[in-house]
Amino acid sequence: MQHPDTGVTFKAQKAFLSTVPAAVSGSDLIGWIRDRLTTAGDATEEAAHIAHLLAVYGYVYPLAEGHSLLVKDDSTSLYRFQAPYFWLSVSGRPDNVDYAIYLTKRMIRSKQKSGFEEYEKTALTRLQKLLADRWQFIALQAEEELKLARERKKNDRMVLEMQERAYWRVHRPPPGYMNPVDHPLQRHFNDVQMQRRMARGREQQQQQHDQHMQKRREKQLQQQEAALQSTGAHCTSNNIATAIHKSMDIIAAVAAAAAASSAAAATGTSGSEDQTGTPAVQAGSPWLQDDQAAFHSCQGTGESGLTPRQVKLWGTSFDFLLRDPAGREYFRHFLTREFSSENLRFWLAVQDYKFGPVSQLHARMESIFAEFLASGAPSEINIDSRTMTATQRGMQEAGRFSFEEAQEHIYMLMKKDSYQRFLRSEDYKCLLQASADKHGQQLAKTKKAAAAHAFSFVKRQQAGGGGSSSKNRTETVSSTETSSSNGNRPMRSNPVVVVQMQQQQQASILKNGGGASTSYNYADRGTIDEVTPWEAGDNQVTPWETAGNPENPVTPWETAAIPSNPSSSKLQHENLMQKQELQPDDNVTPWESAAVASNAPENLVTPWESAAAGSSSAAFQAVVTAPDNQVTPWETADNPENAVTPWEKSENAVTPWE
Amino acid sequence: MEEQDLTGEIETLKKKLAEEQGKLSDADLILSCQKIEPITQVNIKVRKVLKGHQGKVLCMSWSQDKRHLVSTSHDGKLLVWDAFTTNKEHAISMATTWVMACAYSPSGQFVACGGLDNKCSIYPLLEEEPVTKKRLVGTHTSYLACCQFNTSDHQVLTGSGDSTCVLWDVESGQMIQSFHGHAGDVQALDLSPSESGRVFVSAGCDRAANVWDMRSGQCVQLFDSHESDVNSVRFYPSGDAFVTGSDDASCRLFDLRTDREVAVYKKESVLFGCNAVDFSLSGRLLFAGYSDYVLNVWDVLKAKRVAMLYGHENRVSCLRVVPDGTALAGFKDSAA
Repeated sequence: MQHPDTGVTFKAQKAFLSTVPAAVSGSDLIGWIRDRLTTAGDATEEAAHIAHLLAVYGYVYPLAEGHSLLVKDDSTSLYRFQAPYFWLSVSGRPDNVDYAIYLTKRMIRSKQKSGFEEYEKTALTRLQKLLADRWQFIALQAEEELKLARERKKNDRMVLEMQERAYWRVHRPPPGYMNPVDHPLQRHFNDVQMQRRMARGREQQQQQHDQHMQKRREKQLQQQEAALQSTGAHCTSNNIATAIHKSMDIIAAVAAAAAASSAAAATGTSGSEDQTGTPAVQAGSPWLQDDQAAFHSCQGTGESGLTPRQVKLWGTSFDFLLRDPAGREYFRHFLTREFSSENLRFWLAVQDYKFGPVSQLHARMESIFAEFLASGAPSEINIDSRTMTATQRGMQEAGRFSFEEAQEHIYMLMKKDSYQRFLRSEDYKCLLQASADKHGQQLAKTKKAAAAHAFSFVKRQQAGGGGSSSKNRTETVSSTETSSSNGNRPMRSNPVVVVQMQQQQQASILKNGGGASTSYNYADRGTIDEVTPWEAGDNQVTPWETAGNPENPVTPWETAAIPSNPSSSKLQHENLMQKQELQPDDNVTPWESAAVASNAPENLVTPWESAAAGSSSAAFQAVVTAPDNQVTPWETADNPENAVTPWEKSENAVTPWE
Repeated sequence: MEEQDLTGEIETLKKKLAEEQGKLSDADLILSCQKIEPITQVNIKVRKVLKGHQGKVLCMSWSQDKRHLVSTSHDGKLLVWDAFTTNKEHAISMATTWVMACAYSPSGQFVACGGLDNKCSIYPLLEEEPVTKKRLVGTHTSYLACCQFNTSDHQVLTGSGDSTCVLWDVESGQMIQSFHGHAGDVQALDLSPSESGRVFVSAGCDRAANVWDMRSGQCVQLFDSHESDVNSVRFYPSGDAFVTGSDDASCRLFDLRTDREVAVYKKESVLFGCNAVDFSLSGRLLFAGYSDYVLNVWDVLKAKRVAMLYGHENRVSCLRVVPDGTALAGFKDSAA
């Protein structure tokens, strides 16, 4: 490498008063290695890595001050080659005596020139104690060497000093660095592997040589092209590469290699999003700025809301939605409106059960059974008989996986059905919108909407009269009764309910108190630039545990405060007035009956129940166990009651008030 | 004679298995993914340097709040950092200096750790003196190599040098389930990200990666195509595949559904063993830390290296991506 013609180009560096001969710039060094030794695409980085290894082992040393041995790829950082005398392979490992001599020399010299480092000082004192008996000899030796050095020419002396310093930098590294000799880079191959590698290496060397020559030719071509075009040489090489790829005949058979398809599917959307979205992501990455506020706003923790990234992630996989607590809450609200939240609650309950303390296994099993699985249970989930028998068998074993079959069944149910609807729902779209808006800091839009919206009024304290709320339920039910077609319906009717509430009462409606209310902590939210009312801690009392309350957060108006249509609430307000006149008389609702004592629900034959095939006749249950048979009150197309209302006309999101 | 017959039979069975598997493989990952756009640039820079350890950093783990992380080092200290401000929030002195495994609990209230003392202990972080409130979760007959909380604060899964993995109940300190089947020390384990919580993979010095079913306690799949000790294992974000990093300088992607190795990430110029692997959030990028001071970033689908990251003056011993995928912490063998 030090060959004058084919080696690295040398440069002299001016340092203080004298010039350092034969210094090499970092970029030259790396460039030379790259041209000679590597052929791959990321050659520069590999070459930099090799250069770094050279420096670590002491064959090259930096001229700059500081302890770092990183070889920088720029033209200003300079390095020198170590003399063979000091090479690791030649000199072997030094002992403490040599080090002591060196340190003594440094100390003497340092009184005149450059600083004696802290760690060197400590090392010197330590060695003095260690080698106290030979200290006289060491001191003498140091003085001798200094005298000899003074007799040399200034340049030579300087060079020798630098070399020595570099040598000791390798063998006695400063604190925080590892000695490569004591802690060598470990290779754990066995002999067979090594031989195979060598054989392969020899074969490939020939190939590489050919490639190398070809590359040179290409380079020349490119340089000519670059002279003609304005684009750089690297662009043309890219084109060649992509052209090659395109011309190849690729048969993408994706059969049993499911990994490929799933990977491609998963990453094709999110992966390409990764790249295309990288600039956006970086803008949102909290690690780029240095202040806490940035972290919070980017992360959406504490008071702030969600990042668009987060919301998009929920769209990619059901698991992501379930894993994110905010996502879970949104999904739960959505399900509550669809009257199928018991699925999610069951799933969450079983998760707690599976991963909870062993001591509570039995108690939890009982309560899960009572709440979800017993016939006539308050939140009875809909599972087929086979699963039920398996579950009962599992319960007898009383293991952590007793509810496994049921949980899987419910999981698939949610994934195939509710999750898909959630993604298509207004809720989700508004979330995307809202988080994007917030992120782009366009708070004006949402703020205005929020003012019109009924957020602040919803003070979720513990209260709630039965009567007033039932009246609300009436309206809700009736409104849902008349609407139909797709599942988006409830989302639109709910803001209606919201405004209703505002009109009628200020008191909270929440029955459940306890757990659910803590998660709806809307109090004191003056501005709505963020969209997560449940940030205030998670519910210690999980709703499903509060047995005996059949209303358990499964009531439409609890979810009302979700700003699903912040912009349209005002308009809906007007429509509401119309609607109220439509059904003033229907006071009988399934919830009411259940609230009383779940007695004689048979008389409450509301239209959608009759259509709800396969469920029990109990009104409450029919409504509650909706999702599996895909029949929700507003979806029964064959329902004669579904008169033509403005809501029915449109299938998609285009409605009169939007 | 008996032994020879048996070993001969083993060989023939293995060959038959390989044949059967070969029949099923009708597509190659690399080929199938050629239409996908290549990754143009990986823009990763060093943002923070956490200095404070006085010895080799042996293990680290991120908290679910994406901000805190815990790391243990050879100087016997366990440090809890706020990675964003680079402050050290807790410093706990360990009884033993070789703490090779640590884990942050999902709620962020506990850290579990263990090492050469054969024990897995839990420290509550909310107390003023976590050291005093230390709680013993489980004991092995050999060193503890890795540990992880199983989805909640109440269960801990540990892998040990006695070649077993055990699931412990934190509250009672009892063993819930133990997993026997490795022929050598277990070096790393990872729980499947799928929400069912039934599957985990462990890998060890017997060059194999085992996939376990937590319900039955059995090893359901075994992958042994590595040529040397496997140091690290991580599930692909979808939960259907996992990647292992080994001392033979290669990382391999194994697929659970097709039951075979799907891709190998290696290069002639990469000579040194891989100590730690982790995925980016989408799973498109694989970050692998090696013994020769470098961090290679591989494109998972194309098996090409897309970047080499430095900033390390020493061996990369452990490496984790933050739960939301925005940052990556690698700890090197020195004052981190």
